[in-house]
Amino acid sequence: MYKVALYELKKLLRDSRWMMIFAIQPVILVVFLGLVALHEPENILVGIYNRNDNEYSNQLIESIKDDGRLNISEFDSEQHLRDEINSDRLKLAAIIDVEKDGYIDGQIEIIDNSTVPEVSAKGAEAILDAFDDNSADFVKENIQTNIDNYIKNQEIAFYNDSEKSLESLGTTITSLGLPEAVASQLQQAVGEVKPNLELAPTDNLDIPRLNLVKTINTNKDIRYFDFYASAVIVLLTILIALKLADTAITEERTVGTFERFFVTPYRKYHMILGKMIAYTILDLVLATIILLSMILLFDVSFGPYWLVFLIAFISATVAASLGILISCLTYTIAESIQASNLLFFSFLILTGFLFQPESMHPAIKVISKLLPFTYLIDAMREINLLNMGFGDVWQKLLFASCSIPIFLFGASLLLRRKAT
Amino acid sequence: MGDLIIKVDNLTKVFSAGNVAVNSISFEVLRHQVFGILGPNGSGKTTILRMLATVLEPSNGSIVIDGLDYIRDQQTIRSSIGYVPQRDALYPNLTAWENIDIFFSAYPYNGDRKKRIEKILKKVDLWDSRNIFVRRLSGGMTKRLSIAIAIVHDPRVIFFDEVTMGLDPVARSNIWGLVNKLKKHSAIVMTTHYMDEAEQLCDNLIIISGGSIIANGKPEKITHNFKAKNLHEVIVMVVKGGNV
Repeated sequence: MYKVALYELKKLLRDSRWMMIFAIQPVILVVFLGLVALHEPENILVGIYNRNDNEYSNQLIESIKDDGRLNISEFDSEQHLRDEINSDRLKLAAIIDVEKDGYIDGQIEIIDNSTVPEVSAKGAEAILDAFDDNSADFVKENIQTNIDNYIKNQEIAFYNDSEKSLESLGTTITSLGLPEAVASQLQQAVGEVKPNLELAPTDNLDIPRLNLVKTINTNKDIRYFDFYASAVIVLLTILIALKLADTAITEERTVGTFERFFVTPYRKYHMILGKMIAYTILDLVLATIILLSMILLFDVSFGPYWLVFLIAFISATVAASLGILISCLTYTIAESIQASNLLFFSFLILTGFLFQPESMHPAIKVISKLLPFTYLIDAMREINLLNMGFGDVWQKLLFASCSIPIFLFGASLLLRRKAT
Repeated sequence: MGDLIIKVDNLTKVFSAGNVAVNSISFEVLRHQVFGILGPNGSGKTTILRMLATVLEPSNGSIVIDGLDYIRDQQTIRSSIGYVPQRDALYPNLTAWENIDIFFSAYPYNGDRKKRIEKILKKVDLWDSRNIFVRRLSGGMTKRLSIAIAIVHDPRVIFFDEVTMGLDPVARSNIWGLVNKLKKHSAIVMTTHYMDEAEQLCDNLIIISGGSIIANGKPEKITHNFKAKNLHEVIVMVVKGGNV
């Protein structure tokens, strides 16, 4: 088996064109994905309807308009706004409802034109993961920032006014020429109010906040690409490792070495495990290239590197074992390639990269739950985005790893050493 | 002549489409004998050889090789046979040495493996080319390498499937020399399209047509029985529907 593994590696590594493609492919894909997702959205069409036209709501809208990245249009009716977003002419619509007292007292409703009809917490996550909805998500963040700034300004104004009043009161006390003991008592009272006043904006003011549908439970400064990066690492390793191994046996059949191999006392597991050992070594290289590309080119926000590397390596190894299973089931290189393409695109759809399990048909949801790659993507996201550690994801990694011996055992059972 | 090493009884191969490739044939091969399987294209020669080499499962009949039953002792049989397929079936990105090494490592061997590979490479006249990648070897050299892989474990029976096909006369002559050397230690079963080759090398042969044996015996005896000048004429008669 050792010789099979050794020579499998030699065969691959001596093919300079193959080596070049193997090494460059992940870098190119990372660069493309990185550049696509890193680009900050600009000139996004946003519609605003001011439900309660007053000084404060206009201030808020002006502050939103000041952001040059948004292309703001005001609408004279709510229905008009809704018509525009339904006809896909707007990326996002906001209905602003600010009371005359200057506080955001009512609802600020944000409608986006994503494909998710009911924007729930999970739906929003789906939007987040979809490339097309980057800008909608960005706009939500942007409007939230503007609202935060608006509220902060209101707080500061309140504080400044109050402080001025106290200073004025202190001056008045002094100018009144009151007996020293009385004046001192009054000044002391003013002094006690001042520190309390500093807490006032947060303690005393009841300022409702915009309740955004999107919530990201992370304490990191996450960029858009960081969300994609976790799934992209897993999917890239799956893609490349699967394509690496999917013709492992069929190529031997095509060349004729398969027939020669099995006229010797070699057994099926010698060929399968020998190849698996070789691909496992290449998977280590693959995981390293992908992670280094992500870190060096795009400075992706990762969890502990060793854990990210472990998940990438497990992903690649699971994919390689699946590739070997495919190559045992199929008889020609064309069949193997088609079968692995079918599986990869199925994973893309089923593993939660594009669609959340909540939107899936119950039967598909079960299939999704059975796929090792679903757990690997989940684990990678939890490590990178939610600051979780090995203790939180080890069960997922174990489940995914268990599929390696299952795939290899299946390959050994299904490999037909004789032509029929 | 030596004693019996292969006994084939009522061997039949029916493919899944119902096509009878080999129809209840029986023959015997002796030690130190070159046994030829001749016949026109599609007659079933390669199918018989592949069944003997444990590549194909027979539909019916029995094969005994060196006293071992094909079904019961398949793994042991594999240790004592060598197979040279029609295609070279080599790894182009490995050297001549490495190609031998990967297949040789499948066999148990008590001696020095490196010395054994060296000896075999010298025997097939490839020692000087041992570090050259297979993709750079000539047709004759790859065929000799293919033979080297089949004999490195010193098998008792060697199967050659149209081993000289596509080679120039010099390369063919080299292979013939090798076959004559090998028969001193092993029985050889070969299929060929070249009748001069069969006449030169084979001690005994069968002529197959439509999966059945048409003639069986020494080349000169078959030629005599067909009242032909040589085996070439015999095959032409078989193709045209002539019979014994």
